[in-house]
Amino acid sequence: MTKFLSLILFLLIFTKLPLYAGQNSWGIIEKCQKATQNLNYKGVYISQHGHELKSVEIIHMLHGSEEYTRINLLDGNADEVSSQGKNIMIYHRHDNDVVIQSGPSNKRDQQQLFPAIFPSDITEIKKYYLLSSGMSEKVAGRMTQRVNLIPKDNFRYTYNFWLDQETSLPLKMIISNLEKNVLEQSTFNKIQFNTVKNLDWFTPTSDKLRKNYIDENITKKINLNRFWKVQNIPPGFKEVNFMVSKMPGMNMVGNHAVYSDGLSYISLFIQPVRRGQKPKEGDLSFNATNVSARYHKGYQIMAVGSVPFKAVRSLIDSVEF
Amino acid sequence: MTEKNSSLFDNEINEEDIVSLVSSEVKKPNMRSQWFYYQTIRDVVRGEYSGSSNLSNKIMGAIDAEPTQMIGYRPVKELAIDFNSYNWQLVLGFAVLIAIVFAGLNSKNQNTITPVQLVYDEIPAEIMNAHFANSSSTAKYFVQTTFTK
Repeated sequence: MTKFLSLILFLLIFTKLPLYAGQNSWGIIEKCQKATQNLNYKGVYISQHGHELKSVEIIHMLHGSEEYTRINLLDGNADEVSSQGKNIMIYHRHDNDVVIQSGPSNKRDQQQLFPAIFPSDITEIKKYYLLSSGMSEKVAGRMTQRVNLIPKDNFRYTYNFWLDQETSLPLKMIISNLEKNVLEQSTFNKIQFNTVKNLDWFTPTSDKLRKNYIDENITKKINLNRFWKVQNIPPGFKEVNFMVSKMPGMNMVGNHAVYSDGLSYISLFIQPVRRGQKPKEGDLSFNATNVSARYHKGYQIMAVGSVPFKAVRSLIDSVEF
Repeated sequence: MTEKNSSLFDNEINEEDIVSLVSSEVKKPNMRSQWFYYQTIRDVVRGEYSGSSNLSNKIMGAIDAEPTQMIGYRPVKELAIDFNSYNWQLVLGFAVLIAIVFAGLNSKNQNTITPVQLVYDEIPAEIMNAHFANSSSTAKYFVQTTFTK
């Protein structure tokens, strides 16, 4: 009788929170990834990082075979981003100026911005996360299906998604740590589908302000050989970006590499220590971001990421040169 | 006649002798080689001699005749210094000098570089901005990476 009750309890638990082990169950994520590319939608979402809250307006359209997106920050400086395919323009407002950061090889094109959070290839995500589904509930007035990506190790955090039941578009995302504390979240509070019919909206609102424009291409490349290597990159992470840039106020360059497992990101900085400054060592956590620092042969090595300390620490400890 | 030739090359000949000298000299069979020697002697005396095309040809010919060795150069150990032939006092002095330099470098490193504990206020803003601009999936993305006004 006890065994029978245990079996019933087991079935009840797993009916409520099923863990998908098969390859086919990942179809829901693949469907979600395609939805973020193919759907035409317009909405406003709230984005929270640590204690910071910001409202963001987004319009997305697939026109022909190319994606067009405009993202406006509704708070603070009211900055905005326009992207056409892989070309991204970022407009920052400074008093009477608008600074434009652009370039066809803009390094930011590697990033996945909510709700288009999944990369086109989710192979690595499948390897390092377990997929489970949760309750159905409403977000922005629409029925959603909760899906959780739980890390198989402690080099990354848990990602929870609320996918629109009709379209599979993520309407809510929460990143939580091992203690289930919310670190980051983005939630639509208003969304409409198929209301944008043409590209009239695809002009930056900054144009209307008639301010002074400063074009600043952020892809100033410095071609130098890399003098360092990382012996142990955290499992599942691979380098997605590498930049060499002149350090402000110094005639020296700093290195910045970005590693990702498809969902989580870690930045690795290797910079010469300025004259008169003392290098830093140790670990620090603030606003859902962990930082680890180490000094080696005249260089400050620092890793930053919304990942557990183990990930940032193991990365900087394995840098050699 | 050779005295007149020498005077000609030294610009010491009279103008009236030039015509008779040239007209008589060009008729001689060994005229060219003789004139060559006089010219060479004049250049050497004046410090203006820079070799001859004949000499260059001889050197290049000798180089071409030399066999070329592509691999199998003499190993390093054959070039090693034979310490027995050296004055031991010199070697000892050199070793002491190296030791002093090493000691100096080590003490300098210990005195100049002392890392301090990482604190929030001292994390460079450009590092955090660069991280969020290149990795955030939320509104943190909007940070500006390079502009300074």
